[in-house]
Amino acid sequence: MKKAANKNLGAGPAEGAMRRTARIVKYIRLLYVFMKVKLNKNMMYSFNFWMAFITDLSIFVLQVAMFSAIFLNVGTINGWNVYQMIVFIGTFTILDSLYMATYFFGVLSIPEKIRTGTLDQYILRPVGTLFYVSFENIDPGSLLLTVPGIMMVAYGVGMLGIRITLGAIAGYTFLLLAMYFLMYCLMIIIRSFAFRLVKVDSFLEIEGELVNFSFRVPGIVFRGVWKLIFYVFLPYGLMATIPVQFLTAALEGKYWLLVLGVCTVFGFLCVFLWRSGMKHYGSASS
Amino acid sequence: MRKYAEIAGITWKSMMAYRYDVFAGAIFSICKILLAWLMWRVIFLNREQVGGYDFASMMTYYIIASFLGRLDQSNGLNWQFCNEIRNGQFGKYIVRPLRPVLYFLSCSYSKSVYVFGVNIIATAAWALIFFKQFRISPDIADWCLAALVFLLGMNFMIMFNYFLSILCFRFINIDGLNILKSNLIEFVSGALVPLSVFPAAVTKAFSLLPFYYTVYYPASLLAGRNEGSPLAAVAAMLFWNTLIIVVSALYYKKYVRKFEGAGI
Repeated sequence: MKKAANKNLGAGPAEGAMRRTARIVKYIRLLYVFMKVKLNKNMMYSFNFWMAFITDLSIFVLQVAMFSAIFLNVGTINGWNVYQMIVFIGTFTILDSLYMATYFFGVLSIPEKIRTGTLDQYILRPVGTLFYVSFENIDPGSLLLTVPGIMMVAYGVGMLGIRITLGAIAGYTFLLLAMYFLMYCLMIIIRSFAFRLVKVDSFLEIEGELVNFSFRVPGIVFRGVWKLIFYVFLPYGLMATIPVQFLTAALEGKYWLLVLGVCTVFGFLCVFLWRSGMKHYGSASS
Repeated sequence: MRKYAEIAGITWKSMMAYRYDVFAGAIFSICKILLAWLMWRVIFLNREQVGGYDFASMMTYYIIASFLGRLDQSNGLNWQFCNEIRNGQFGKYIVRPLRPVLYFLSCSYSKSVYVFGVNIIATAAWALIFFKQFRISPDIADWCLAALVFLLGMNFMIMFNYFLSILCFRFINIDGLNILKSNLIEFVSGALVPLSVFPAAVTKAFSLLPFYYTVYYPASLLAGRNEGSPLAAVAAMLFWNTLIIVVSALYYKKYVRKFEGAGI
């Protein structure tokens, strides 16, 4: 108590900012350590490292082949041509590599940690539990996949004859990061149910199908009630579609508001469900 | 043969223990069909035909392809065999009076029969939901032929997965290869998109592969499209089945000696 009171008495705005900076630096250093450990592990099994890259890449190459074949038969799909589709697949490749490289494998293990009680080990550490659990399985190898992703986007944009400006790059990057954040929130929200239900395999299965869904079908195919479902309530339809719409055509103001609104709501929901779940967590007996 | 029937029975019982997963899988097959419906509905907006399919036959194709694609359950056994070879547990098949290949076949078929029973109900339900777009061939001959080609195709897939699993004697870890294989086969078998949307030369090249006959050929036939001579399809699958059986037997004989029991 005394310590806390002293802390509050001496806590001016400058000191508060310094503490926040120190905290950020601590987390960045922690990320660096996670990355080093993972790279060491990957170097031991170099064949698997490359095989994982080839496997991931194959998914996107097959996706390009599939849509190229469809576009041989049709000129456009709801106003999108083959090059917009290539930008879409490239964008998803980048998004996929970003989340695979950072939080994907960590978040994936959350239900198991809750079920077996190993989450205890993370609660006791002097860092944010959610941060530690999410980023401890960082996989820098997956970042390699951004290279073909960027190449696909560059090729598609080039063929569309779009002039790339700094503003376009900044807007595209912002929207991509917003979708990266949204994906994180969605993954955490679904796994937070494990605090109450313990086994959430069926939820995870649905999530897998929804990710596949957004992966293979651009949001432009949704109309009416489907658009409402996949843009607002289960916003998987936004993922790669919105950055592509921004880059290849003007993104209407309402979509900017939608992105900001959805990210904010799901961000708060994610934090709320995680915190209430942690209160509910009863160690190995949960 | 009785011992293999017993193995099939035990596999059936273990499937019953995890029946929730099987039911959930059958229900979630709607996602694939819904995805196809949403996508193709937009593609067909101003068109009558794409790749020789109209909207109804395209949806029929997806409903059937989704059903057929779930029936082959040997991929899971492939992973199981690989792990057992890697961890030294494969010895249990060697010391018992049974042949691993027949064990693999009996487990796979047992799982397929169970999944068939569950999925046929789900498929009938999806066919009812999409009844406006569901237009299956009324010709019994098409049904019989599709069943024959599909069974030969499924047998090939089981043997192919068995062959991949015994590659572990030589290469120890083939997890990446297995994932790559699943992605490629989903594509070249026509499970993702009907192969007729590709240029004719590419479709012709696909027809030289056995995977063409595992989903695409029977699903097309049931959707009312004939994608080549039935006799040629049966002959091709007999050839591929013979080849994979012989190659697997030779490979097993050569590399089982590398197995040391305590993990390799």
